[in-house]
Amino acid sequence: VRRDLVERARGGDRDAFATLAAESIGRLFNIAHLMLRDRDLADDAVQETLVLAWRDLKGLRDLDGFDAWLRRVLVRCVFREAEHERRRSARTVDVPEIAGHADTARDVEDRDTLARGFHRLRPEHRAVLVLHHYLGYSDDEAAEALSVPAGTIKSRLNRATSALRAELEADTRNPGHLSVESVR
Amino acid sequence: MTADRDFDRQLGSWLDERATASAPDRLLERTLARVDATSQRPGGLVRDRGRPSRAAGRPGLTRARAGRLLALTVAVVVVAAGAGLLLRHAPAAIGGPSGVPSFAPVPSTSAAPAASPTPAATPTPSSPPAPSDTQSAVQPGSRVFVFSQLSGQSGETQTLWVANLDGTGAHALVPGLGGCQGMPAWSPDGTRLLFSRRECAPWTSLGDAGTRLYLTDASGSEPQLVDTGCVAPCVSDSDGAFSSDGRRILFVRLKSIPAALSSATPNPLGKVPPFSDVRVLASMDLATGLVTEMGTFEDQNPRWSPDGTQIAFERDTPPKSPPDHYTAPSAVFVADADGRNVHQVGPAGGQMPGWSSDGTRIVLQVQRYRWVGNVERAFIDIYTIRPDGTDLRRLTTDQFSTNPSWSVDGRIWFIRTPMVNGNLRTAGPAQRWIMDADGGNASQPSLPPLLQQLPIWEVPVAQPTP
Repeated sequence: VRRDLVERARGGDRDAFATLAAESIGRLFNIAHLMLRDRDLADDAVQETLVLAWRDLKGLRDLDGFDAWLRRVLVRCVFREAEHERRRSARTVDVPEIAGHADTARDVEDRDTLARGFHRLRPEHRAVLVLHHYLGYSDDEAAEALSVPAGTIKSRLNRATSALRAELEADTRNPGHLSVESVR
Repeated sequence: MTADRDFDRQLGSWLDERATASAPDRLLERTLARVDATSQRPGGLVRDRGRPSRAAGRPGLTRARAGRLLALTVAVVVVAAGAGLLLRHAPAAIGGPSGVPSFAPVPSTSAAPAASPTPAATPTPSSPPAPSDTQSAVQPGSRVFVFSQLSGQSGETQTLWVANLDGTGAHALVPGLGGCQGMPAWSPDGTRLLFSRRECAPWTSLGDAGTRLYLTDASGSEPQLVDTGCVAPCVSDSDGAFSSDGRRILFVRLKSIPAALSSATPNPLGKVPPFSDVRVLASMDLATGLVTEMGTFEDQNPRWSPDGTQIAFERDTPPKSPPDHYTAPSAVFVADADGRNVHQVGPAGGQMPGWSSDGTRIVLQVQRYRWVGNVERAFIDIYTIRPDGTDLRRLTTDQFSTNPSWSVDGRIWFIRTPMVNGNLRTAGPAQRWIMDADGGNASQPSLPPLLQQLPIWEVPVAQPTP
């Protein structure tokens, strides 16, 4: 059914594309939000992704590869948003407290700590962590999504993980805060 | 390894948990409204693999296809003496070890877009300054900025540019080469420019796999790939600089080595990564093509001292956590050119070191975080220090001064982004300032918007030789 929707959308069926967009938009937004740390930027990136996807859909040859292709378009749009934001040289991000979670207080604290550390990472480090740990991409898949060599993915993943660990180490010495700002 | 798996599992779980944000209201409707206003392109015009075109960045091909996306970093570096931008320099025939020329000539740059007669007096941050009539718009004996700017129809490439001090005469140095260019360094005699280049991709970082060194004359003609012999396990050569006598180049080599075969360097927490990307400092004799690797270098942004005997660089360090603030996880270090005698200079949080032209001082920025209420904010100021780590001087106290670089006449360029109490939401537009080496006489020169906001490096332009 999905393949049929993609084929119809590729043929110019706007309703079919709308159905595909409705099915994908939540996940696309989550990916963009994880990478960008900002709902407004993620909103922009998702809009741009779907507009570009519609514009370029006729060029898609592998109908079964629609979702992977859409995520690659998203990564590029996320990057552009990150670049626009980086040119403004600074970001402020409020990390909401995780309330009402069923975990123990210690787990909540760990997650809050993780949030602060993750949000302080460079955009490219957040991107590779999201691709690897959230989307479950292999090195090769992540490399293809980011259009970089697999060796770069390995290096970046190592550096991102090290950076996150270092941030967590620092944060455990200064716990109890709910918001973070960073300059990149 | 158990700790690693636990950490990975915790991170994956946390990402799953965080990825439950609901899309904003009416995002689908707003998006579809834009879709309705967008026409589909005919089939066959786009790739469905999301990969950069194989043609990307090659000279002789269209710029619109050159590189798929832009780079994260638009800042560039240039340190040097004269630049001789009007000279038509013919690089000396430099043989490799076997007598084969070490430089593989890059095809003609004839496909470079025609220069526009529009002066570059008012470039905008979102587009490159319009090229001037000819490269001769940059006058000999003057001072110029060198900077790296996103270009292409939608910012797909990153190109080296030069411009007069007043912003006029801006032009791409090697427009036909394409790709993401950066990290330039002039030869001591100002006749050659060494820079790094790789194909653009999302999150491009010069120094990543695929980066290579290029050499051009000061007019930008005839860019040549420097054959450093980078073959597996070497994956990139980048961040080059000339030695003080101009006979050697120094660069950072990235090698990809399985951890089992390497003496992998533990990360700041003492963990050895399963896969080891090793960076080494290397030099190449331009006369013989002989490359010598000098030792590991797991650091960033090496900057060679003017006499070539020392290197200043940034090193990631575990963040400190005093009661009320902690620093950015970095510090500036200085080492001998062979990588020995490493010592930290300046406080924790040091970044972006730059040598004064006489090599007696290093300028750096220091970033600290501090809690304001329940919000953590970053504060940055500019310092100078002697290379031996003594005589630290704080030059700014506004806590939002960044991106220092030396001017030709020994002053310091920097960028101020005014804000209230470190609150970035109140930040105004970036402003280009200049001050004396001791922090005095700070003023805001009149510059085009582009040069107000981009990190820039100033170089003198040598008089052409008869």
